[in-house]
Amino acid sequence: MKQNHKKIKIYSEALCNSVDTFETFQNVKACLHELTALSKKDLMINTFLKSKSVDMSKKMNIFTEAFQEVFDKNLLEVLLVMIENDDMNLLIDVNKSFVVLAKEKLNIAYVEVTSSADMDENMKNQLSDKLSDITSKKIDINFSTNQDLIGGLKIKIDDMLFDSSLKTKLENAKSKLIGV
Amino acid sequence: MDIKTNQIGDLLRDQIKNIDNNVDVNEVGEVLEIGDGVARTSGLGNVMSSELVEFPNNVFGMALNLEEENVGVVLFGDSSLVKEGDTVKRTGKVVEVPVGKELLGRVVNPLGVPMDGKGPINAKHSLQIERKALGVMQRYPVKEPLQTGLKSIDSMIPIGRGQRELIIGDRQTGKSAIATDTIINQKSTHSGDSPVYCIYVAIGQKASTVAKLVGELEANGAMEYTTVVVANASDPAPLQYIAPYSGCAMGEYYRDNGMHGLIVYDDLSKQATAYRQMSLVLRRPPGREAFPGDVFYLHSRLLERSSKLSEDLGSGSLTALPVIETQEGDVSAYIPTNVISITDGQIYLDTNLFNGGVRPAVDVGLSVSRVGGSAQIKAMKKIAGKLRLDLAQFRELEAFAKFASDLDDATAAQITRGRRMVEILKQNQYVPMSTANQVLIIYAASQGYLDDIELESVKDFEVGLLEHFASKSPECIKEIEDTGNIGDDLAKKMNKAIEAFKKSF
Repeated sequence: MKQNHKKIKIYSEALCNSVDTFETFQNVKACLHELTALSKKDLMINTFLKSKSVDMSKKMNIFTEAFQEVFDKNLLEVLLVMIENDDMNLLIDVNKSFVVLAKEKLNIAYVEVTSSADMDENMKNQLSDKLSDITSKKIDINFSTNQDLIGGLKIKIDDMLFDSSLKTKLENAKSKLIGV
Repeated sequence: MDIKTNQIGDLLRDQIKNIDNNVDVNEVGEVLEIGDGVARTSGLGNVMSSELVEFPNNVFGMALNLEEENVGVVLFGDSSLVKEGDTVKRTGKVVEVPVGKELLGRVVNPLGVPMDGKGPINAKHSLQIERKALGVMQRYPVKEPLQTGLKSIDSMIPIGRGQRELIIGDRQTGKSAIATDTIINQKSTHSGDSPVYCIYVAIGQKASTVAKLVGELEANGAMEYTTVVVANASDPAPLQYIAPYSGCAMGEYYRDNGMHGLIVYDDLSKQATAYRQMSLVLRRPPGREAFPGDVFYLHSRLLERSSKLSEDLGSGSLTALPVIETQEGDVSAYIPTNVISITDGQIYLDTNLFNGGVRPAVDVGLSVSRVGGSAQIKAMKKIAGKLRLDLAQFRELEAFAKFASDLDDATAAQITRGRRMVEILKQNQYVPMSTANQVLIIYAASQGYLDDIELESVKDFEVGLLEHFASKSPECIKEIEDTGNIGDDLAKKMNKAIEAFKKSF
């Protein structure tokens, strides 16, 4: 467990060193996200990546040929080292750790916006700019909808949750009225 | 109450207007895994140790393990209502409970939530459940007695206000009965100037047992000055773990405000078991008997909070009566030895004595009070020395007497005296006795007035003698109560009264 923790740290630091801009960060993050999603979804790819019976050099060749056009060069190199060391099972944790390290390095805030209805592109851009101004950070933003909120927004910036949804307001009102 | 519909409407409108319209801002984390009443969460980077955190569905928990990657949270509610991926919110508050006289007569859970259906508790104050014990300079030696109303304890194992006296024994030996009687006996203090407020902490007991106890306290008028804190056997282990600390915080309110408190922890063995369960699920390394390494600190930091305060701090006190259940009389097990070493003495209850009809089944040989002697009134101190000696001699000779057919007069006399002493120390449950009455009957026995009374008649003699004193010589009772001493004149008066009663018995 401790050994894995060390390895995760080494791989994620290597990935973090390879990103210098917000754009490269987003690119690497998206690639890693795709790869983990793919290995989760597709049993054949998952088995191939973790299989010990497939020759290591063959595995690396297949992997290089498949991804050299799409993946960043540094990312590909780190992934090849992981394959060589038979550490592809750590991919999810490496991804998580990389995001944390890179966010700190590049001063990025991860933002999740949940609204009761779909927001148009203009609104999304306005909100993103405003949040970037307020936090003085680059914003890695995700939008989602949840009709249960009834109205208003829930904005989660890293670990802070700003909840102005009607659902929460009604719940707070209910607690106050019944004196809980 | 006569309220019209439009009044209700107005009230509601006022309430709705006052509702906070601001955005709800919280530091949050995410539940990574949940099971066995423990949640591992990510995020919550600034959470404090022992901070209360909120899960969905109104489930609360306490952050205990602050690790590099995640935070281990123990849940106080139903863990089936929390699932992986749920959001967990910081409350910014370390677990605290309401304190004050508003809690008297109430039954609450360890979070201070009422369990008796008597409505909300509008306490003005609250205290954190985990508080640091006071230092040496804030304390004062134990000097005032805390009467249990039990002859065997008040005479030979006296307890002082601010003392920690352990009640230890096997199951079904009357441990809780002693604690309950002590609470009931505090009723007499409420007619004086230094009343004792009581807190009974029931840990891991059956709900029916607690309900019965509350009923008994109510029937004896003791609930008026008592708070019962309940973490039943069916409650989650974290609630059982924090119950004594919650009760202690409630008791500290009285202590810190110049009043006197008495707290009963019934029992700490079950709390240690709950803590073991929690620690193992939190993956803390197990030690002896699978308890975690800090199980001593678990009890020492709790019992150190009971103390007698200095005059500068108002002279308040908090007396603790922790209860420990032993297995087959083994006092050398891990938890019993720990608690024995922390407390200022122990009352050891023996199964054989209990089965032999000696109730309370106090084993005088193994029981001790390390600091209570200085709190005992002079009258009791005078007669208790003789009582202890008579009983020690009796114990020594009793076994020997079973084999010997012929006994010399002196030995026979000692055995006769010892049997009568044991008989007068027997006492029914829920019948605590005033100190003056205790002094009178023990004095009569130690002076040998009971030696020629048949063993079966000793109880009747005791009842009759106390009635005789109450009706014919009330001045003796009053003098003991006022002076707390037996002077030569009083001794003569008492002897005369006992002789007079004996003639008519």
